Amino acid sequence: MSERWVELLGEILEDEDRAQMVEAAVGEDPAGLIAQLRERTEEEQERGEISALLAALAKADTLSSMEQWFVDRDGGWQPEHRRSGSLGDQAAGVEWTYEGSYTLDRALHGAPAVGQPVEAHGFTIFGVDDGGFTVFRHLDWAGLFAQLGFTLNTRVPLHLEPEPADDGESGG
Amino acid sequence: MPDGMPYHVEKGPTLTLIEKHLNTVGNKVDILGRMRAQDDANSGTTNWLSTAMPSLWQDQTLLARAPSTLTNIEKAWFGVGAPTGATWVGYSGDVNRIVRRGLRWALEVSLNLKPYDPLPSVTSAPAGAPIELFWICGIHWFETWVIQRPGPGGRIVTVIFLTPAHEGAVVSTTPLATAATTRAGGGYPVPSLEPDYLRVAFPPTDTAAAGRSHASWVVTHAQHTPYELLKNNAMGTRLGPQQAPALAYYVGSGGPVVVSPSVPAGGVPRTGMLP
Repeated sequence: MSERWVELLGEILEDEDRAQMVEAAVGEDPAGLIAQLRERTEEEQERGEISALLAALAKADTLSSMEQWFVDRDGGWQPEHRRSGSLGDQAAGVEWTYEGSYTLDRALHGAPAVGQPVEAHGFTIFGVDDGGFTVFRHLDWAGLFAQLGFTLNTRVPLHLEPEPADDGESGG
Repeated sequence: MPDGMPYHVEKGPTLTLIEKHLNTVGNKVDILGRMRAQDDANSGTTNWLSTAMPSLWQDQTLLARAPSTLTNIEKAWFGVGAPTGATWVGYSGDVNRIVRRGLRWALEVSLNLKPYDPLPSVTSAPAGAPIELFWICGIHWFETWVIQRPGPGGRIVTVIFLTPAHEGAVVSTTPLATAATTRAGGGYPVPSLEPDYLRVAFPPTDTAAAGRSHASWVVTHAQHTPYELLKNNAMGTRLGPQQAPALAYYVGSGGPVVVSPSVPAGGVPRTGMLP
């Protein structure tokens, strides 16, 4: 049984066989897969877009996480082509926006879902690390948490050790 | 307040003194009368603490302990004289009006009055139900709770100020005393062995706990430790679903212990009164 991101990739590409080829490449030829992600067709270059495979893989990876907590809304996941593409000499990245609604009750840190609309912003980098295909996700969690109503508790806990004298019933 | 707040709940010397002042025979009607005029007008003036309770701020115990208490409350809670307003973190609201309305309502509940009922004369006024004050710090916004319940001879009125954190606020990970004095924590308040700190042993080794008339007990673990500190939420991983990061996850250990904090650290004096 394929992993969830492979299923999603097949749906996005409308090509299950290609998704399984990507899955195989992740394990067998990560550098080759990165080269594919960096490569753009002439049409993609003319439209100023990143490669369809790079966008699809970033979307599949993101949605596999987002669907744990949110239901897609409006455009769902969208790449920002102008700030995406090849990075360095062996990586590729995608800046993206995700729009969803928090309707899956208690799915994220047990928070009640009252249908809050959320907009998440992130940048996903695909690269090769220690010989393996690796994903680095920079997601604006603070912005996401704020939209859900989470606040920072700035009463900083001071880690203190009790006085040795305080070892039983005692009082001043 | 002047010593800081190392626990989540506080009474401490300042609220003890205000409480004593409110409950002194004859004071309730006098204070209520002085507060009502400003509160009925929904005035934004912030000097009602001093005009409604002028003698409180001349209390020798208070002056000896922390002479700038009034100024500090007006500044930190109401934003008086502070260029950037009150020092609440992540919150802006009219704390001045909320506290004034809350104390007014507590006095009216204590005296069994509705908001516009005429005041009895100071000389013939009933003592009214005793009022107790507490402060709980660490919620999203500011609320004052006035809780009434039957008590011996009538009612007991409990006022709880629920507040966001102030700038610079800390909280101890242990309820147990960690120093001789609350101010021994290198600039931050810490649980201390000062009066009237008491940790109850199970089984008890003396009768100190049963012998005191007043206390606030915290029952919790002896220590709270972060489970895993989040350092790099963008660390490289495999493709597929990720977990949402938790900013903090505390694990309690030891105990449970039963502790009445020292008065400087926010506890309740064993007699209900400061010496």
